[in-house]
Amino acid sequence: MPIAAFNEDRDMITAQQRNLMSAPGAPMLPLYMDSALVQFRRLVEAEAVAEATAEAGGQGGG
Amino acid sequence: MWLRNCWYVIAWEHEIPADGFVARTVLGEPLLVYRTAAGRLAVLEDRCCHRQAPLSKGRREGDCIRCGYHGLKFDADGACVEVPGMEHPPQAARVKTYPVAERNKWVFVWMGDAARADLAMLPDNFSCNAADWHYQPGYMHYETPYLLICDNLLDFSHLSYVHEKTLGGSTAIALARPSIEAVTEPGQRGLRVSRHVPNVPAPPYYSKIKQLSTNVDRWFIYDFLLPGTLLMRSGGRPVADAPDNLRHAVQLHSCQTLTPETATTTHYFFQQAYQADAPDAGVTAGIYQSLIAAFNEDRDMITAQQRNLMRAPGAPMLPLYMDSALVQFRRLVEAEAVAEATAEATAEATAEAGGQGGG
Repeated sequence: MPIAAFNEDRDMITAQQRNLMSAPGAPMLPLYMDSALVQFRRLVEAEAVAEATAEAGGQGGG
Repeated sequence: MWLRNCWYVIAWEHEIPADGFVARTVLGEPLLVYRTAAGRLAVLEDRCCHRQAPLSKGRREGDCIRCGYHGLKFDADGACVEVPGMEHPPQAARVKTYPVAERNKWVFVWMGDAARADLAMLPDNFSCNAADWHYQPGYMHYETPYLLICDNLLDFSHLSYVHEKTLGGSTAIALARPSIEAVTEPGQRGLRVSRHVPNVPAPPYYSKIKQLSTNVDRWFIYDFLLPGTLLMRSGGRPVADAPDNLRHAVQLHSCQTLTPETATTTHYFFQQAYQADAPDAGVTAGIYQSLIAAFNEDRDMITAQQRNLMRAPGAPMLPLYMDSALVQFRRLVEAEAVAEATAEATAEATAEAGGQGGG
């Protein structure tokens, strides 16, 4: 049952990705329903920055 | 290389359903074309302004398109009229629309500056919609850049060899040198190519139209217009008949047009029409089948040529006399492309200067 739904997701997201690749940098319009995904992307970004910083610091100490 | 400030055929009129839409990429931009209940055509960019999902994954709702991802709904002017869960859609919620025109069964889209869209630049594809011209419409997809197909259509010497058993029938076509002039009709830019081939056997497919017992004098007279449209009168007349006596002649008119899908793929819309008071289903089908057979021969050759070009980019070509028209046409495309780029750069510089002056 969930496979049918997940195939629907994959179809849509793959089509979205094709559009994103054909016009990199095309703007997105943030709407209220993006709140959770925007917060999650910020979380990923903050952690990625923290990891990069830690790695740079580690190299400096060595 | 392609031009933006011109009309490109995006579909045959009959391809656009009363309820639904056609999704097609032109110049690398995904587009969606549909007809409202009132009969108006609309072309929208096939990207939701929210998160770039293709609107064509959604559905028609009356005269609107609803995105199949988060349910945003857009009207035929590209305005968002509904965001589920919001009372009023934001002003900025819009998808891009394109000028669209319809003439003689061809649906055209304008890919450049909308303010410059000019109906005078539409080609005269009259035989696509005339009571005494009959044809079956054709479409073909190419995995090659459109300019390689322009090359092919600007040099009919290939009829003798690629189409020996279909459209050609005689090596004399390659030997007859065409005259090449500039097209001077208002709104049109291109070349007029005229080729007369005297005293040759009728090509095999003429027999589908008329039984000719003698050799014929053949002619091919066509305009090849920017951005990539061929409009051609062709035919053959029994050699014994006077030039103005067309009673026993085969007379054809062909409209063909190339629309770049991407830098390396092309849409090809075409027809070969014959003149008669009433259509004959057998003749119509026969001409169409011959044309498809010949166009498959072209596509085989040009696709193989493209594979060689990709394997060794920049490998030199040897210009020969039969390339004259295609070289002139490529120069025309290049000059127009440079003019477009210059105009755009000037407009940007002016806008920037204006912005600074005002600020």
